[in-house]
Amino acid sequence: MDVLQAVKTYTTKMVSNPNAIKVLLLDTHTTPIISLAFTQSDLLAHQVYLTDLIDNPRRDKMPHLKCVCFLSPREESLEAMRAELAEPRYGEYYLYFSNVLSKSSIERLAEADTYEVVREVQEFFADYAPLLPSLFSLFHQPSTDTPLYGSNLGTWHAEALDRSVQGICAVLLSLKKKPLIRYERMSGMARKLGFEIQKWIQTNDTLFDFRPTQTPPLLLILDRLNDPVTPLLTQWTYQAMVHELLNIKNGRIDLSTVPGITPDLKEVTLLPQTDPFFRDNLHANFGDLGESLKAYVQVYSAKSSSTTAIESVEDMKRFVEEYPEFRRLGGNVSKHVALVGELSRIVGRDTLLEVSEVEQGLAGSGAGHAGDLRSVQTLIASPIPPPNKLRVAILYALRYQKHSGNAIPAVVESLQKHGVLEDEAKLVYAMLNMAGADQRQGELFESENIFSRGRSALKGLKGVENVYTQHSPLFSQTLDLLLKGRLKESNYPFLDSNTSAGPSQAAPPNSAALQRPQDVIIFMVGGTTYEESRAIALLNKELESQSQSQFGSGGGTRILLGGTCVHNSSSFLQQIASALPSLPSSLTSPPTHTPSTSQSNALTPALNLQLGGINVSVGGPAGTGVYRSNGEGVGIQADGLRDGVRNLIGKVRQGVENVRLQ
Amino acid sequence: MESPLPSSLPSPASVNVNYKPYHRHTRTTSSARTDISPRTPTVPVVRTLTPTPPVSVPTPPPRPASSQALSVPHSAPVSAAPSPPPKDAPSRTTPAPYRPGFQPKGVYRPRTDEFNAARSNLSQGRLVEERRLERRLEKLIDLHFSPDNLYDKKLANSRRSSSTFSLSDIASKNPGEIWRGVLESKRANSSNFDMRSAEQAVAHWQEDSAVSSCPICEASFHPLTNRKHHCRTCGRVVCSLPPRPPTRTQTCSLLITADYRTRRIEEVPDGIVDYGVSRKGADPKADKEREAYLRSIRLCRECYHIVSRQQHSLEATSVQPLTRFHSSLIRLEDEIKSSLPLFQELVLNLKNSETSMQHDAASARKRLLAAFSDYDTLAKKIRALPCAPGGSQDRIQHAIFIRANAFLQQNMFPLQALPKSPKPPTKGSSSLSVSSGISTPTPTQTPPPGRPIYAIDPDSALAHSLQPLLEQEALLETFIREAREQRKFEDARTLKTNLEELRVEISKVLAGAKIG
Repeated sequence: MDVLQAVKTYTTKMVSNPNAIKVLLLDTHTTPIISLAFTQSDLLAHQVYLTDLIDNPRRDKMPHLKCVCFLSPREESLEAMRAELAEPRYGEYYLYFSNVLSKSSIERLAEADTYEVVREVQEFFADYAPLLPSLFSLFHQPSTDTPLYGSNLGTWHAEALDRSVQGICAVLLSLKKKPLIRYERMSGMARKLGFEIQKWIQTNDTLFDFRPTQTPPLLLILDRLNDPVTPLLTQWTYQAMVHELLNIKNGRIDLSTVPGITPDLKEVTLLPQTDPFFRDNLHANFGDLGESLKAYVQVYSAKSSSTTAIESVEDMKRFVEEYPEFRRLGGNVSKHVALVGELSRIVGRDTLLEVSEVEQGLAGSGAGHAGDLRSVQTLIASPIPPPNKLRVAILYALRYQKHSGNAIPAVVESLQKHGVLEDEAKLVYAMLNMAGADQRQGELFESENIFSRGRSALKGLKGVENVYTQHSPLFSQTLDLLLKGRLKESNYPFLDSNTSAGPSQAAPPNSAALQRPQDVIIFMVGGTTYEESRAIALLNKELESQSQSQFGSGGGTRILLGGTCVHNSSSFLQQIASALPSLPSSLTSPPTHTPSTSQSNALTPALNLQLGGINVSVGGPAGTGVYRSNGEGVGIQADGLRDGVRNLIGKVRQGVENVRLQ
Repeated sequence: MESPLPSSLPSPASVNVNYKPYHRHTRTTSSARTDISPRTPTVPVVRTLTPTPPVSVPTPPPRPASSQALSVPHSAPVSAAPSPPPKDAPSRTTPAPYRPGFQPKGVYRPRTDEFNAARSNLSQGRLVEERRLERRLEKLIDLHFSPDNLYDKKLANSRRSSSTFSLSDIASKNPGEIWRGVLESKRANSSNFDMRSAEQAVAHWQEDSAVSSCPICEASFHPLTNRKHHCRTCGRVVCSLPPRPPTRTQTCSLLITADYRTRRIEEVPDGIVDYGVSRKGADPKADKEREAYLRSIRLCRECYHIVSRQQHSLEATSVQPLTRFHSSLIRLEDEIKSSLPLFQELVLNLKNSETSMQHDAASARKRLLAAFSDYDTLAKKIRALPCAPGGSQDRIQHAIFIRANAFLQQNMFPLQALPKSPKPPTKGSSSLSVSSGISTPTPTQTPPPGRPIYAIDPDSALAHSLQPLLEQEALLETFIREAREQRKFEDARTLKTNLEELRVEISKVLAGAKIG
C-alpha cells in the first residue's frame, strides 16, 4: 500500500531495459509522476542521460541511442508519438503507457512505425502522482479550463470523471487491489465515480485477476464538500503550512518573491524521498519544527567547526572525504532555514496566530455565537489580507448556518466594506449552497451530536496538541467507525453491483460491512489536504504499532489517501469560484433555510477538568480537547507559543549566521 | 569476472589481469573457502592468535552506495509470517494466505505482440515494393559513386545541366555565360547520354507528357516556374517547387549523395549552387557543397522516406565512439563494484592481523586504484569527444561525466581511508613489530611519524603514498573552484588553507624521497 514504492518499481523496470545509453521521453502528464518517484541521479544510474518532452520538436537526431518513452494514452501524446515514429530520431523505441491503450491506438502507432523501430509496447499503471507513501493526487488543479463540476450541483464534468476513474483504477492496479466500493450517501459525485470505477473494473477484468484476499480491500469515496472546513483552516504543521502559505507544486516551491533570497534558493525542492530533514519533520508542528531545525543547524555548525580545525594530514583526508556530504548538508540547512524563516515572516505579517485562533474556535468548540461573531467582525475589520477575511467569514457562515440568530448577511456586508471584492464575498453564499448543512451528512461540527463525539473521546485526549491544531478532519470519525466495523451502511452504502449490467459476482457479502478491512483506500472527490494526509500517516503508524503488539508482525489495517488534487485554502476557494459560472446563478444568493432550535439544549461534558486557565473537557457538546476557560487563559497560552516560535526562529537564524561567519 | 574485455577498452590487459589474483588468493588461503561464496565472511585461520573475537563482519558486505541506487527497489521484505488463522474459514477452495506488509509488484500488461501483429499486417504489401526501390538505389549508388567510375570527374560539370534553363539561371547570368552554358551542355550531352540511359535502365522513367500535375502535392507543372523532376528510383515525375507549409511541408523532390563504401545516403541542399560559373576554389566549403550537389542523385520525397528507413537501421546499429566508450565505462564500473567487497573483506581480515594477506591487500588496492584511474580517464575521454556545444550530444556527454564523478566520489574516496590499515603491517613486517600495526586500529589515527619510513621503501611505496595526496590536491582544486563559483568564500578560504598544507606535505614527501 505504498504508492511511492509502486511507482518507483514501475519506473525502475522501465529504465532498466535496454542496457545502453538511453533517452527518456515524457509528456506533460507523466513528467511530474516520474520526477516525484525518481531523482536525476537515479536516472543517471540507469544510464538515462537525456530526458525530454515528446512534443519538443527541437530534439537532435541520434540514431545510435535507444529511447524509452513513458506517455499517457491521451490524444496529444499519441499524435506526438506517431510523428516521432514516422521520422524516428533514435534507434530503438520502448513504449510504456500509463494506462490502458485502446486497440485502435495500437494500430495507429503500428501504422506509423514504418521504420520498425518499436521494440516494446507495454502498459504500466503509474498514472497518478505519488506525493507520499500514503498519499496520491491526480493533479486535477481546478480552474475554468479544467472544471471539476458539471453544469449541475453534484455532477461531474465528463473529462474530470474520466480522468479520476483512470487514475483510481491505476492506483488499484499498481497495488493489485480489487476493492469493494463504498461511498458517501449524500454525494452524487461519489456515487457516480464509484459506479464508473466498478464498470471499468468489469470491462477490464483480465487486468484485475488477482488472488482473492481474506477480507477484500475497501475503496471509500468521500466528497470534499462534505467537509469544507478542513481546507479553509490555517495550517501549523510543516508540509501543510508550506503548501498553505507558499504552495508546493510537484514537490517544488517558488521562493523568488521572498525578500532577500539568495539566487540558489529561488526555487527549492521539498521531497521527503530526497530530503531527510523534511522526511522526519513534515508532520511536525511549527514549534517542534523550530526545535529540530535548531538541532539541525547545531549539527551543521559542529561539523563546520570540526572541518575548520584541521591539524593533521588525517584531518585533511577526512575533510576531503566528507566535504561533498558536508556541502550537501549545508545546502539543505540553508534551504530549511530560508523556508521556516519565510513561514514565520508570513505568520507575523498576516497575524496568522490570531486568525487561526478564531478559526479553530469556529471549527471546534467556539465561544458561543456572540463571542465568535464579535471576533470574526474584529478580524474582518483588521488590516489582514482579504483572503484570510473571506476564510473566516465562510467558516462562520458554515458554523452558524442553522443558528437562529446568525448574522451572515451582516458579515458578508462587512467583508465587502473591508476590501473583499463582491464576487469573492459571494463565495460565502456559494459555499453554503454547495456545502451547507443540508448538503452534508455526518456531524461536521462537534456540537451537532454528542454521541459521535463520545465514542472517540478517549482517543482524542492523546491527540490534542495545542489550541492551533485541535481541529481534526471530519473523516477521522468516519475512519474510526470503519475500523471498529460500525460504519453504518445507510450512511456509507456499498455500491450495488446489481444495478450494473454485469454479473453480480462482486456483490458484497452481508458480513462485509462488519469485517475490519485490511486495506482501505480513501478517495476524496474534489481534493484532499495535507492535514488529512498527516492524520492518515499518524493513524497508519498507530495501527502498525497496535498490530505489532498484538500479532508480532505488521498485520494491521493500512490506509491510503488520495484526491483529485491536494488543496490549500486558496486552491479550494478557486475550485468553488471556477465552478460558479457553469452552475445556476441562484447559488450565489443567500440560501433559504430554517434555523433549527436544537442547538439550545446544552449538554454537559462527561469529564471536565479545570487546570489553571485551561479547561480539559471530554465528551461535552464542545468536543474533546484543551480549551480555555476564559479569554485570558488562551491569550497567555497563545503568547507562549508565539514567543516560543519567534524566539526559536531568531535563534536558528543567529546560528546559521554564526556558521556563515566562521 | 574473468570474462574477456572488449578490445575497445583502453588498457584491457591491465584490467583483466587485475582481478585474477583474487581467485588465486581464495585457493591458497583456505581450501574450505573455495566452496562457499567469496562474500561470506570466513573465520580467519589465525584466529587462535587473537583472543578477542574478530570485529563482527557485517553479513551483507558493505556495498557501495551507488549500487543501492541501482538495485531494483523491491518492496520492503517485511516478515512473511502467515497471518493468524482465520476464525471463520472462507468457503473458497483456495484460501489465499494474506501476507501483511508485503507489496506486490504492480500490474503491467505487455502489448508488444499486438503491436507487432498490427505492424506486420500493415507492412506486408509494402515490403515487396520497398525491396525493389532499395535494390534500385543500390544500383544507382554503384553507378554514380563507385570510385572507378570513369565519367565521374569529367562529367561533373555537365551532369547537373538540364535540357532547359530555369528562370533563375537566366536572371543570374550575362548573355555570354548563358551561351557558353548551352554550348557546354550540348557538348556534354553526348557523353552524358550514357549516364542518363544507365539511370533509365535502373528505373523506367515516366514520360514527361503523361503527367500534368505533381503526384505528391498536386501542383500543376509549368515549363518555366514548375519544372518536372524525375525520381531516379521510381521513375515518377514530381514537381520542383519550394515548400509551402499547408499543402507541401517539404519539397517533393530532393537530391542525395551516397558514400560508396558505407552506403550512407545524405540529403544535399538543392539549387543553391550556380551552374558551373562560380570561381572554383574560392571558398572550400562552397566548393565542397557544389561538388556534392553536382554528384547527387535526384529522388522523390516518398522514395527518400523508404530508402532512408534502411539507412536508419544501418545508423542505429553502427557503433559510435560514444557508445563504445560508454559500454567500456559501464563494464569497468561493474568490475570495480564486484571487486570492492572482496577488497573490503581483505582489509577486514588484515585488521584481524592475518598477516599473510598483506601483499594481497596491497596489490589489490593498487589494482583498484589503477582501475579507478582507468575509469577516470575513460570518463574524461567521453567528455572530450567532439560535439556541438549545447546540443543533445553535449548534454549526454556531460551527464555521463556527472555520473562517473558521482561513482568516483562514492567509491574511490572511501578507499583512500582503508589502505592505511594494510600499510602499517607492511612496514611492520620489515622493520617494526606487528604490534604497532595493531595498536592503530582506526586508519584515521595513524600518526604521521609513519611518513619517513616511506623514504626507505622502494619507489613503488613512494608512489603509493604520493598518489592519494596528489589526487586529493586535484580534488581540492575543483572544490575551490566550485566554491568560488557559488560565491561561498568562507568555504573557499578553508579549502585553500587545506590545499596549502597538502602541498607542504607533498613537498615533504618528495624531499624525503630525494634524501632516500
